[in-house]
Amino acid sequence: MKNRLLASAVCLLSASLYGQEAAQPVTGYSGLELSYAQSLWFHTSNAAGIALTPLRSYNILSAQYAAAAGSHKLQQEGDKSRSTDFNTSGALLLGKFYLWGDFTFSDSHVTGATYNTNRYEPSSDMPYYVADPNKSDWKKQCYDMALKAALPLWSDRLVAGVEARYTAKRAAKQLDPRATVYGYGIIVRPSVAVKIATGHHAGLSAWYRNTFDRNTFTNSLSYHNEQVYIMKGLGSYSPGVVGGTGGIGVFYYPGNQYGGSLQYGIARSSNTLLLDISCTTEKIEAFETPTKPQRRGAADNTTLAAKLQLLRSGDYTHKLTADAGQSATNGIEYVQEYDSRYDVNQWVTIAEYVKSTYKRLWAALQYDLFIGSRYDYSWKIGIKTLYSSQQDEYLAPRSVFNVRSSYAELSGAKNFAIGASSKILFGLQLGYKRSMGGEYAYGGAAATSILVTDFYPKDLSYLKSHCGSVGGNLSWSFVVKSKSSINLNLSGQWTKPTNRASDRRFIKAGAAYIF
Amino acid sequence: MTKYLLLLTFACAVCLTACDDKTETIKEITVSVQITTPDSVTTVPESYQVEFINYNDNSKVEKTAGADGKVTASILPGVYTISVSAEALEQGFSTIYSGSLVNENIVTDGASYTIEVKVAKSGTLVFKEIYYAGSKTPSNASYFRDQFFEIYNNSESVVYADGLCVGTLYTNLASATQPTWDKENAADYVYYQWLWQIPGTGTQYPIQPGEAIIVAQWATNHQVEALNPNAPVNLSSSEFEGYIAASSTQIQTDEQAINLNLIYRMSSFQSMPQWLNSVNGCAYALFFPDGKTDITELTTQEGSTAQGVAIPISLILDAVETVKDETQVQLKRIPTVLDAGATFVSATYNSKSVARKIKETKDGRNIYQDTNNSTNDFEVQDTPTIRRNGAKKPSWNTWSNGN
Repeated sequence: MKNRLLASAVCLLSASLYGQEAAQPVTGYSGLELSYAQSLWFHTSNAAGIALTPLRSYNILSAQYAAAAGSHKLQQEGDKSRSTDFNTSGALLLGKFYLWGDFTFSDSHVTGATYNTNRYEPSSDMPYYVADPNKSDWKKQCYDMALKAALPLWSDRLVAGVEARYTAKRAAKQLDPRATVYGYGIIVRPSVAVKIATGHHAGLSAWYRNTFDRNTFTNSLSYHNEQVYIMKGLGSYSPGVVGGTGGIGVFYYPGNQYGGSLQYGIARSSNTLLLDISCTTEKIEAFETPTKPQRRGAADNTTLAAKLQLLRSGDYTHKLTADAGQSATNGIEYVQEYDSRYDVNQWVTIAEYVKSTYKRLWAALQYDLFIGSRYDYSWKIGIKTLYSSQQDEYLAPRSVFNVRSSYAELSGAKNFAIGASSKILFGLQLGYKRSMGGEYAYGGAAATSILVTDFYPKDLSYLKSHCGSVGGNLSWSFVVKSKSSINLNLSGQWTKPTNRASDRRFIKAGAAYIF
Repeated sequence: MTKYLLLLTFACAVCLTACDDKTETIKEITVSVQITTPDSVTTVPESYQVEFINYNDNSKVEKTAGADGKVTASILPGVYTISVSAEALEQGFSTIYSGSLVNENIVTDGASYTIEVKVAKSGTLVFKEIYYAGSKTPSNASYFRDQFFEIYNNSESVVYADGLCVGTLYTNLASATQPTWDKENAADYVYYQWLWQIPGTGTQYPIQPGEAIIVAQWATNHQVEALNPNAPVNLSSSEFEGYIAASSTQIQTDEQAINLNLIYRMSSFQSMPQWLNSVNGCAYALFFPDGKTDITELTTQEGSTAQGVAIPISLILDAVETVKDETQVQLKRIPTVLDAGATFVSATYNSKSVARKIKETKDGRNIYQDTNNSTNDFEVQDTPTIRRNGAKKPSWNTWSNGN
């Protein structure tokens, strides 16, 4: 599979080599950033729309090293982490086809993560997983390949497109109780965009996403079984054990997502507006033991989102993005009995109930001003605000976990020209997150469990914190041929809560060849 | 443009409808339980303790039913074990009332259940301590030859151990998958996978009130250098041991303790003629044959060639369900009329045992708690000890040196 993925990435890269446009080439990160900002349809789920606001042709080959450290984090994140990413990406007009493709391989190592035994990326609205309190390292690898294609314009009115993404991931927990994780996700999004009148376009896309994760558990110390928590949400759990007879079996998570979105865009001279409304429903089920499947729960999610983008292009490019949405997940638990008749031997579901709910609400507003030309900027100023809330409830016995916060960020960047073929981009970001309150109240039967006394309270403390952050980035680009450049990047961020003795530090360094 | 916005709104509404979930939201339901007693019972207790236990949720609802045996409870839908227990004093004897429903799917509001309690005199012979987990040697090897159980005369009368049968029941390991047996009224029996019998003429091995006998896998001092200095017990004073002379695979030597007679061992262990009680915890039961039940007759599992010795539940003097840890408590092997709970030491080879709690002390003699619920009746001991709490050894044990 790995070889096929790499081959696909190389094909994608090769294809892009044949499609160079004569337009102004992208020769640095700033130009690439501006191109993405201008391509409003790219930021929707409608691939057909990229023909309406195309990216400038580019190809990039990059490598990046990133590291993070500090105790200002969720418990399931590591005290430290480091990752190495390799990426190739490109956009081009190939004949009458617009194509965009991306392939990323990521290899990461996480140190000191707790309360997660089997999830590649734990999520608070997927409560059915296995947890243990042992601080452990994780090794992870992810292959992510994506393609967007817009077909030629049909009858001067209609464009069809498709987006596809395939992700394969694997991970291994490095301390007892150990787990190996294998998973994939594939999504296909057909779409159309139609010209309604001059300057008016409507779009429609629909998608199906299939995911599957499989986790196996082992102990290195075979004579010592490890107690684990089979989580149900907000501190409720069933006891489990890894190892020995009666140890938990293979966990697996099939998931199916269906979605649809509608877009409406208006373009007037240099002004463009695009509204995108989407609805997604996804159900991820948790099972144990494939040969005798026992349901461990299901997360049934519905997400509604709307995004409005406004763009005014020119030497001064203004981009305003308003983004809002809500996500509601029902945590479903099952009453099952084991039919032990020798010719059956299967778990039978008697009833199912919504036992917990997980609600997310967010609203964001971002404004960016790019000063320079249509192809690159010399200055960039950005303002971003975000409101988010998380309301989780275990219905009976009742437990709640609520947290709300707002965030504001001010950013700026300056592109310094160093001679005719070289430039340095220097950026600075200042952010502040203000907590608007939060609470965790557990009402179940295991009030003294470490989940209730340690896991959730520490996560709440992190999420409730007020914190400031300062970040910067430095990028040196120099042209090596007329249409290609080498870019060296360094960026970092420091986040420090004002009401908590902790911090978190990020640093990234990378090199990219843009051609 | 208005019509397109209307179209957008309509499409979103369709999506929302499609996303609608039909799964019912959890809410409490009310269930009622009627406790009944067999017709032969003339005296009923003043009250019954009723527990609704959901092992999946770690939750328990406790109620008290009056003499009429009626009780209602508000519980969340789920899989429950409903356990009923009561005790009454009658003519100087302690009478135990117990009954239960196990792994019952309770999902319907207003549902009612009837539980008939069985009535028994508090056990004469009871398991007082069971050490099954084994221990670790200094080189970290696993050692299980030091297993034993202690049987105590909890009554006020002498009991003769001659002919007493003791063993472990199917399944060897606690499991959600319990076999079905090719036998009429199969639910009225328990099925032994290993069965030993104490020899004797009928009056050879009296156990006086307050005395205990030790039944060891191997009645030797396990703490010697050649065996396991880490072993928690010296079993050389045991009254009985599971020695099989014909065995060629064992390290076991024939000690002074009296050898048990091996009546049956399950077929999968036929090639290993030795005491093999799982360190994960077995289901132990003891009984005296009534002369009508052939203890050598085998019953076969449906859909399998596996066989066991079927013994009527009514003959069982005492039974204790031991499991590996709390995750296996709901995996019942022993009928709940004999043991409504389970006890465990949470790990293998941790040198721990389970021992029965003292209920009261009368005339210097300990009377141990026997409510037919080992979850309540037993507690974990960090160090297994034979004849704990001053239990006496029988006078006919002439080979022990005081311990």
